[in-house]
Amino acid sequence: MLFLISSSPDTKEFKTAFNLAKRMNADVCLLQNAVYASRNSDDTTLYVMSDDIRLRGITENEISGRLIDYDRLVDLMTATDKVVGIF
Amino acid sequence: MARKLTLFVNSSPYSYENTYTAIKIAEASLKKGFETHLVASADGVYNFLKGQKGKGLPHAGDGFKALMEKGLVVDL
Amino acid sequence: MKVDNLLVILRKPPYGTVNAAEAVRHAGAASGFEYKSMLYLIDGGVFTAKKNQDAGDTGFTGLGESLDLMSGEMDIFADKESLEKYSLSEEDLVEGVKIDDGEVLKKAIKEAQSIMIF
Repeated sequence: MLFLISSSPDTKEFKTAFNLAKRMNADVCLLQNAVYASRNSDDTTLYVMSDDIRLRGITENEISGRLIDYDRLVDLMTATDKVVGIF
Repeated sequence: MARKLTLFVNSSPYSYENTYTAIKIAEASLKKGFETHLVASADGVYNFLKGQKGKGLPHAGDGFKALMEKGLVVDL
Repeated sequence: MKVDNLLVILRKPPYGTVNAAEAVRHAGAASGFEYKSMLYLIDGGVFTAKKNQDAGDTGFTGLGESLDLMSGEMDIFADKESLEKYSLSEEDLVEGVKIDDGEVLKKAIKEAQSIMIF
């Protein structure tokens, strides 16, 4: 299962989505404002959209997790049994 | 095996980044030769209005039109 | 004569929602119409001042660059506590954005004729 999360880390939406994903052992891909959550995080399992960190002035060495592009995201979305998102 | 991807968009084009994300995912999916659909509901239908004059943000009308010409199937 | 003044407070990070772009646009436009305007970044809004934002060919307007350009015409402040919360320091911010420990905000709210919150 793959969760796509787009909300800013300081929102209720993000926290609900993120906690639910963890409880369900789902993979998580951070998009849009959710990419801020990959800064100073030690979670290396998160997928992080490269386009969205570039747009926000975040550099590769500021984040943990696996940087991906849209091509790779489509692979992940089509390989998994279920995609849950975006919120 | 042919693969199929369907996106669901329910937010308006110039208040959120969802339009941009959807355009980029649909573009990547079409490039891979996947059958790609988009279903728009609620304010998502505004992405497909004619004559949009948005500036400073990705243009929803132009973006989706270009993808529809490449095979994106849209249902409202 | 007292100069008209506008305070724009931005609470949301850029691009995910249009709030940041609109806050910057309104503060900038007011300053163009000879208002004294101030843009105050708080909570996730402080990310709008982050350096090296690269809009590339996305179609978005790069807002870090907008702040840099506008900072000569108007006051732009970032809230110290919010910056600390997100591990951002002065070196992470574009030129011309000043850091406030809360005193400027208190005064600005008291003195503003109009306040717009995004």
